[in-house]
Amino acid sequence: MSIEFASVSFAYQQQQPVLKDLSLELSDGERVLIVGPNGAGKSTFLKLLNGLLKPTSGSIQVNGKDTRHTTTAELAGHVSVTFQHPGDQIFASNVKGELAFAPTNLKRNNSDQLIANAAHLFGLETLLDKHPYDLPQASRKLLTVASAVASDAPVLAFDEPSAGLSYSERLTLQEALQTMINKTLIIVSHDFDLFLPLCNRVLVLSLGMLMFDGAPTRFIDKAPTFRQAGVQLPLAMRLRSILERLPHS
Amino acid sequence: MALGIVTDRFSFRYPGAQKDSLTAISLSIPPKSRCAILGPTSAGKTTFLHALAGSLGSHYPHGSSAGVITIGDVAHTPLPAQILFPTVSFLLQDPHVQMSGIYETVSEELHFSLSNAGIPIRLHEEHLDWVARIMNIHHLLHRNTSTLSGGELQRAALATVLVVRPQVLLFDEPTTSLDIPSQHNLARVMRAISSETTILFTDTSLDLAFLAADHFCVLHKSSLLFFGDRAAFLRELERFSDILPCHNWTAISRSIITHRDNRNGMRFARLLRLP
Repeated sequence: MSIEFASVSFAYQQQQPVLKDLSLELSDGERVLIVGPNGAGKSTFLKLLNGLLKPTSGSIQVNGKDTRHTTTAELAGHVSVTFQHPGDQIFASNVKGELAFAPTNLKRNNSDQLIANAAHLFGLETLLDKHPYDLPQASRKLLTVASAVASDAPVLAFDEPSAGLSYSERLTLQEALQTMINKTLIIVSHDFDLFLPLCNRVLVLSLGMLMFDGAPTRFIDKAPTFRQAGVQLPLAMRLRSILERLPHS
Repeated sequence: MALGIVTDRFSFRYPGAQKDSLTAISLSIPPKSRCAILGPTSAGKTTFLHALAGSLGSHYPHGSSAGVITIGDVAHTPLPAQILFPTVSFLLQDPHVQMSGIYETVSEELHFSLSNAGIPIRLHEEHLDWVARIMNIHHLLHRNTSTLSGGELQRAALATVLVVRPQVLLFDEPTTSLDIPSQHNLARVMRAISSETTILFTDTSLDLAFLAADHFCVLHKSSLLFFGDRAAFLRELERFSDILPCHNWTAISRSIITHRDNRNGMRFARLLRLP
């Protein structure tokens, strides 16, 4: 298995745990969608994965490495995480430099190929010499995801990767992620439309606890029961499914 | 009092750019409207909002522009040269940027907005109570802004622009970090304030637009592809299937037509204020 959370709790401030006694295992090659209301602990979950945060109690193993005793730099080779806001992580002066950062530092021996492949998958080939801040926000967002992909880490985790993307860029993202059959994908998103078809497992986090863990189809069936916890399918998906079930007479 | 917005063949080109970011945009948004500005990336959506806010004219005085933008009774030829806050209040795409960062709590940030708008201190509490009530954010007021989650920060950022009770409110992609219940909540806030505020918002998804908007504008490659009301937008929705995520909504629209003679179909049509 690639990731194991054993009774993990985390608090930024004492007495206010963001995650409470969370235990779960994620296997190699799983595609996991994490959903939950704002403030449920989703982004904290991702920061615990790459060791940016360490559990207040309990432990996390990533590819056999205990995150409490492993540096973030060392974990970077195993798990690559992107943040919600591209500005929090882009610092190279051109697109190519940003894509090259991870594979070069991780001393991947096929760096050039990883960079070219990531650029191709996310439609960034023609932008390699551009300064990231000369790109529209949406392209910067795709660049952060592409940079994680270029790291060739076996676990890729994305925080709201489709936020702010237009229709065609969302399709680019979906198609690119579909090709990653050997990776464990962990996606935090409210974009059910895009990611439910892509993932094979859904976790619902609410108030720091896991309230659902199962297949997307079961999640859709049970979705009405999560409403109280602040998880709802988008209006269009709900209406469409109701209308399609109506008799035609 | 909510202000109407009229643009007449408004064009803008950034200094040094090879082509226009907006080309001959003519539309008329009545006061109290909630207008969704839709379109793919680089269509000109954000530039259009910056033009109305006055930030385009003040930050790019050497950009080339043409046409007229009229906000309320004031015609700007071709565009406002100064930031029009607090008459026009603008929520930027990245909520981090919206916070001044010099204060710790959400409440202090809100006071800062009110002071910037020149609102007398004796009226601050009244404004704060109003925005906390209408946005349901009492629980966030005393939180440190650096401890807010992405979605909470987005709500706090919205409060900083709403608290001044602007006559025109512009939102750039307000739903990017919002969960679905918060999007419904935002639509509710928009409806609640639209008697005193004209609202324009950009979005890449259509859900908030269908929840909240009564006018729809589609921009593509710097030009205006469509401007009209809900009924007209739905009629023409399939035209935009290459540039907007329409597939669910066109299916819904078709399905309602199929069911138009049955009670459920009519109920849905009414619920969505569909033709």
